[in-house]
Amino acid sequence: MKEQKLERSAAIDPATLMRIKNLQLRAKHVVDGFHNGLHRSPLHGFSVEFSEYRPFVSGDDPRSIDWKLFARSDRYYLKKYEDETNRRCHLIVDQSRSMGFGSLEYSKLEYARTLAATLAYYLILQRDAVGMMTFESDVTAVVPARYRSGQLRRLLMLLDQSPQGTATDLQKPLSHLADIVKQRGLMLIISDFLVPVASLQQPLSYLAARRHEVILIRLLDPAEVSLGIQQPTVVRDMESGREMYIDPKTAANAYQTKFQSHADDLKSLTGKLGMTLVTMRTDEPLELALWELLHARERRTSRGRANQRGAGKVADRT
Amino acid sequence: MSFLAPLFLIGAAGVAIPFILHLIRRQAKGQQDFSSLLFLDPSPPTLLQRSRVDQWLLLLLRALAICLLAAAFSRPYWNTPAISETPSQAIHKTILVDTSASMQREGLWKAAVDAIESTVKSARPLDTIALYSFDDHVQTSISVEDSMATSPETRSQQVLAAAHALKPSWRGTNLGLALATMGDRLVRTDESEKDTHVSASEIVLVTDFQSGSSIDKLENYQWPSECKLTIKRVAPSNSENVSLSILVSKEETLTAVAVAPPTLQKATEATKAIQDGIAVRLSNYNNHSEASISLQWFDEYDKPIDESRIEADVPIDGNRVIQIPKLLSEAGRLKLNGDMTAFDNDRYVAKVPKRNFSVVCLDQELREASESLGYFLQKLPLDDDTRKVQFQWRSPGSTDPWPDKNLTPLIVASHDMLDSDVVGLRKFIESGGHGLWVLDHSLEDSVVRSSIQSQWQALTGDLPPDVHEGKIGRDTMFEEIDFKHFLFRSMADSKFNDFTKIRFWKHRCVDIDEAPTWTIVARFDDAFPAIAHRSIGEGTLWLLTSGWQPSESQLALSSKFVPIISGIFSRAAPLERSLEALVVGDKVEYLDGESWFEPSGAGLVLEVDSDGKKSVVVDQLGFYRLIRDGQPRLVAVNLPLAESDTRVMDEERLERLGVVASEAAPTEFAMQRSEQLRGVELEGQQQVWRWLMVGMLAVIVIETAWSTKR
Repeated sequence: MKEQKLERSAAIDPATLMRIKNLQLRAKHVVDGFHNGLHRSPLHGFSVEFSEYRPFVSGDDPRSIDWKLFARSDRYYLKKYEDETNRRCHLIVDQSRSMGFGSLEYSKLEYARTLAATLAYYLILQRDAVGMMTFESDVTAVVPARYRSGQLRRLLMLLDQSPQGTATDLQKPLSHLADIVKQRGLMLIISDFLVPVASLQQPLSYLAARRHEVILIRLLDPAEVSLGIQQPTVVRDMESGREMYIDPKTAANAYQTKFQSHADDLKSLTGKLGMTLVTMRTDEPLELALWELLHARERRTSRGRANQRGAGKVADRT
Repeated sequence: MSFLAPLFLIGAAGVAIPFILHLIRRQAKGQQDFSSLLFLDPSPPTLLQRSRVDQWLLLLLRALAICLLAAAFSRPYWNTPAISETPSQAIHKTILVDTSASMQREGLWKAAVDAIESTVKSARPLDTIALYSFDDHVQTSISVEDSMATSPETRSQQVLAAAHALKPSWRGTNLGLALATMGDRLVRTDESEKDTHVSASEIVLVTDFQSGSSIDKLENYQWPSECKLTIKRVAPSNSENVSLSILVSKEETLTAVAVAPPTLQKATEATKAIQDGIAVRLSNYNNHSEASISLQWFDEYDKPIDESRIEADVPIDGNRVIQIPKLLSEAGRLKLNGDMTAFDNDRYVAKVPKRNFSVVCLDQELREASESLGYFLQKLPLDDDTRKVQFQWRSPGSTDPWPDKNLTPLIVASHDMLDSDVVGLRKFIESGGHGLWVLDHSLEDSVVRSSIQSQWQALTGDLPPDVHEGKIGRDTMFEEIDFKHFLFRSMADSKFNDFTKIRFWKHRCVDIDEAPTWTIVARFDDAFPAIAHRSIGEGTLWLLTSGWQPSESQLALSSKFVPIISGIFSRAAPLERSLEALVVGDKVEYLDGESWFEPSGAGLVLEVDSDGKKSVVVDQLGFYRLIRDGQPRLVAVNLPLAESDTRVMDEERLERLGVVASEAAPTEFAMQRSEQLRGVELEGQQQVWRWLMVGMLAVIVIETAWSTKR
């Protein structure tokens, strides 16, 4: 697997991005920027597994023409990659109260909405069927995965709805998702995962048992990562309302320890279940998520190739 | 500086709060939302590691603000000395102590002496202290002048010594007289000492303040405004009392019965009591419980008469009249048992010996009954409890000595008098005797008329009026009667004032209407006088213009005859000094030749007043012995009845009579209260708390600005 480094100079500053009111416009900016980054990189293109050739038709991207095959066949063919096959993608967006926290100009929720819109836009461009589910303590809305006109609009409308914002409970939504999505697909769970890791074991296991490809995108505010409290204050939990007097001088170390332990546990759990955990800070460019999505596909493809080698099959490339 | 609410100063302890907070790590400023407390543990406030104060000025400002707030709440004020406490001002302090019989009760006199001592001790060095005592009169122990003449250092001792020498008497309480006397004396003292630095006069009254005290004297007395009265009431250990009084007359018994609860006594029973025995009234001055008592006679030798014991219950705060056996001996003591207050539980009774009198009828003894004045006169019941009256005849022209007016106060004469009788009768009347001249013969005959007129002139010294026989159709009667005159006053009631049944067949007409010396008491229906009287010398001449015998009228046979003649006789009988119902303190007329002895046996001292009248004063309880003309007799002297009313008088009664109470607080509680009120007034004037609050606000503003700037 080749890792492609994102050129930071080409990434859009999230704060600037959030100033764009229109969610679709934001998503388009991110995706376009991502594609531009791909073109500038000498290693452009998807690092996805080649599956077969198909004839070039009008409207296809000429950059995908396999010129070697043209030299051999004097005909124009495109390499068909594995990810060009129709896949069902489900975006699961956490809209609980904890997502409303934000030490920057925007909250985690706003970042999550933008990220979900960006991923939806990108996947639809890839001609994938994309569905979405929003949740708080329970499932609030579901849009089934479809690839049809107007799907993006429906997804963006769902993201535009103002959440009530209650406590976070991943167990019910994920269990519900496992129940309703029978066909194997891609699950992109966007949340802060500020719940005890043990409570995630069962629902994630359900998803793993259904053989879904699950990518957990953990969104954290910079203040959550490094306890952004400057002076003793009474801290109020946004979900439970519980208050606690915190002196950062004495609480920082313990916070870091606990936070890191939680992160380690979460990583361990996802690793065990074969899931991908992507931790993003809300001050990082959204393109990173797209790169992670690419890398995830690469990893999946390499696993598939290994399985095929094991079976002795080689694809006919001519 | 003083404080109205000093407890609030405890709030100044709150100054420790900013100090502690100052050492404690600063409390959280505000509140901050966080996504989750999942990774957070609460941080307890901790002292700064080095435990030292960093911001001294802030700490001091905060502490000062708390101190100012606590001080403001405690309401401080400056205690300026009162004007009245100027040491140069002194007062005339007069102690007036009650030495009446009610002060004999247990514990009272000691309490009174203690009250005097405390009054003396509370006096300032320049105050004058006088001591007077009173019961039914005022006695001087140390006068105001005496006190002023004494050096200030020895005044207190002088008063205390005099107080210890006093003892309560057995006399009644004339509080009104005592206060009025003191008021007058203090006014005279103030006026005579206007150049001295004396600011006011105060009377300290030490008394049990019983309701039986007489305050009548104050009703028309103008209390001097500069005199203030302080009452120091002493109370006995036992305030219950039952009083005993012996009812001496039927009317008194009936009145007492009317007051007694109707369920216990009826008027008929009371009448029976006075007839068969002696009625006594028991009064229970106790509003808590009924009194169960017993009565018993003791004879003149103080031996109990067992069969005379009577038991009775007296209702709460009520009276009861009961009958007790008569006293058979000449004197005795009626003792009340069962009453804890013993000073008034004895009543002394001594029977008064009857005086012997005679009434003389100057008339023919042998006359027919129907024609005889004396026949009916001798049958008159003129005796009573105090006198025995004998009837004597005196023949007209008798040369026997004329009787002594003291033994024969009344001579009744018909018009059958000789000249010598007329002369003798006039002399008798002039010496103070009473003569009743009855014109009981017809004046048809001119000779008889002339005789009557000459007797008239000889007897009265006046020119004789026109006299003639009255012209009566069938009969005549009294028509105009002066019921205001003492002779007919007792018959003024409508039940007794019917004289129409008394008919007169004959009467004489005497024209004395124009004579100013005559008092006409009754007239016949022809307007001529029926009964009249005038003074001659020291005596009185009565005139009856008709006889009472049946040949003249129905008067002797009527029910009015006895009261009319008895009335004339009672007026004629010389009034002896009453030795009945004597109470302690009474002044008794002394008659030459008699001797008085106290109950203890000591002789009484004779007192002679400015008019030369001799008297003795009975100031002991019990039997005095009087020896007169070699004959001893006992005279009972009792406690004044009002002295038994030991209920506490309402002090407002004195205030209603204009007595000005002292401003000085008699009790420690009142003094403290006065101090408190003065403090409240001073604090209200000074209002220091406002300045403290302003200061506190200023400090807070400075502290806020300083901490913000920092």
